[in-house]
Amino acid sequence: MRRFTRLQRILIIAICICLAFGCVMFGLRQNSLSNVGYSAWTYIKYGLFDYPLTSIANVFNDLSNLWHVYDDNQYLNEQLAKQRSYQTLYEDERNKNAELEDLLEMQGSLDNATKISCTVLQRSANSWDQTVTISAGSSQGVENNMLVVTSQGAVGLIESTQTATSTVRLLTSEDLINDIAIMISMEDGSNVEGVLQSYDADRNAYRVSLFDNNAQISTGQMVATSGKGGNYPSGIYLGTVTDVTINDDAIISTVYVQPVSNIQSFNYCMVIGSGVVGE
Amino acid sequence: MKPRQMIILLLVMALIDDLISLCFPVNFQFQGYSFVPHFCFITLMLLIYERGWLDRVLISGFCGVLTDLFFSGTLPVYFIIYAGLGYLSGIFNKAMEEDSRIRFFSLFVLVLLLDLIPFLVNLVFQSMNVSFMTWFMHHELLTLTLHGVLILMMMYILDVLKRFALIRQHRKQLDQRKKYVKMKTQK
Repeated sequence: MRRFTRLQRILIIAICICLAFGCVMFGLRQNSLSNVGYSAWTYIKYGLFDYPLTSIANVFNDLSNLWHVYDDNQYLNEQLAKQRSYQTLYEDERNKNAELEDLLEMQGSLDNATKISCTVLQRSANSWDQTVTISAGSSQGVENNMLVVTSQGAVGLIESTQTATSTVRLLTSEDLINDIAIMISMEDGSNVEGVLQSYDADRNAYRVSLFDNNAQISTGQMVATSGKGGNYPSGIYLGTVTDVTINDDAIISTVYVQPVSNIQSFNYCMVIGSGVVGE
Repeated sequence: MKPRQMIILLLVMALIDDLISLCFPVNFQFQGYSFVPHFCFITLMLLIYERGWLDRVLISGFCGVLTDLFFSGTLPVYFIIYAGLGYLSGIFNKAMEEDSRIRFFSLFVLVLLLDLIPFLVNLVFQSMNVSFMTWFMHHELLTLTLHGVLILMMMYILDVLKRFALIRQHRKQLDQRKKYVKMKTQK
């Protein structure tokens, strides 16, 4: 009889045991060994291979997603930056629109005066409070000493004209080319007249001298042009009285008038020539 | 090769099979091309084809039983298939030892049979109603193509391992001979 080697005997026994066990399990109509064995094997495989492999795959996946996130972040940052620009652009356009609407309203109220609409072309930082250059010149009918107004009120006088542009001397300048004749309307219907002489940078107010020193001027009263002596009509708003100084003789010396609110920054203005302001 | 080394190698190959099945699962809806890994089977055949018929049948049958018990739950299908293919693997073992092309071709046919037999069985018992061409194109074509390369690789690797084992054995014998000669001269 053939003699089996040690290996053959071991294999035969192992196969018989496995087959017997499998048959018993099959006979009992249970698949528990397969399930248990499969579970144990699955856990071993999972711990040795599946989990590390899945982890490595997740690392690569996360890296590629990270790259996508980086790209998305770059894109969104650009969009956000553009949004901020859009917002500032919008606000700028909105402010300009409001300014133009106010100027349009003012234009409607000035019937017989010469009105020339224009934009600010240049306003140097060195002479911010002194002069501006506007986009209207002699070809549009601008003349020297015409009044320049914004949507809030008067801001300067035409100092010099060129063909297509003009230089405006602002009322906040140190050297006004001409004094401006003003008037203050009183409650009783009378007007107190005076002249705007200069600008006090410390007080941020115009210095106005009145012709009638006995007038009862109080803060908050509105000051307008009187139309006398100058190439501009009357009734153009100049500012509001902020202070009244009285000299030793109890006679009003100087009235301080606050300039219009947008004299520091305006984009659109109107050059107004002499005429009568419609009410 | 020592049995312990064989067991470790087969275990590693089985794990690689599972790794590949996890990464590239087979599409049983026959959409696209799938690859069914048989690393462990190819390694097994290459390791046992030189042995006697009983050794081949027993070793491959044992692997089949373990596959049935722990993976497929189809006892005794893979036991029978593995045992049969194990027997067939060594039929031309003399020619396979002399000519590596015959070895390659034999293993290629065995891999094909490993997939073909279950397919035919399923077809006969009507548990699968897919045409041969569909099964072949979607499952077997890529499998055979890649296993062709794999067989060549494993043949080379095992040849190197065998040569290494042989060299070690020769060196050991040489050392023993030297020791014996030394003992003889000392006497």
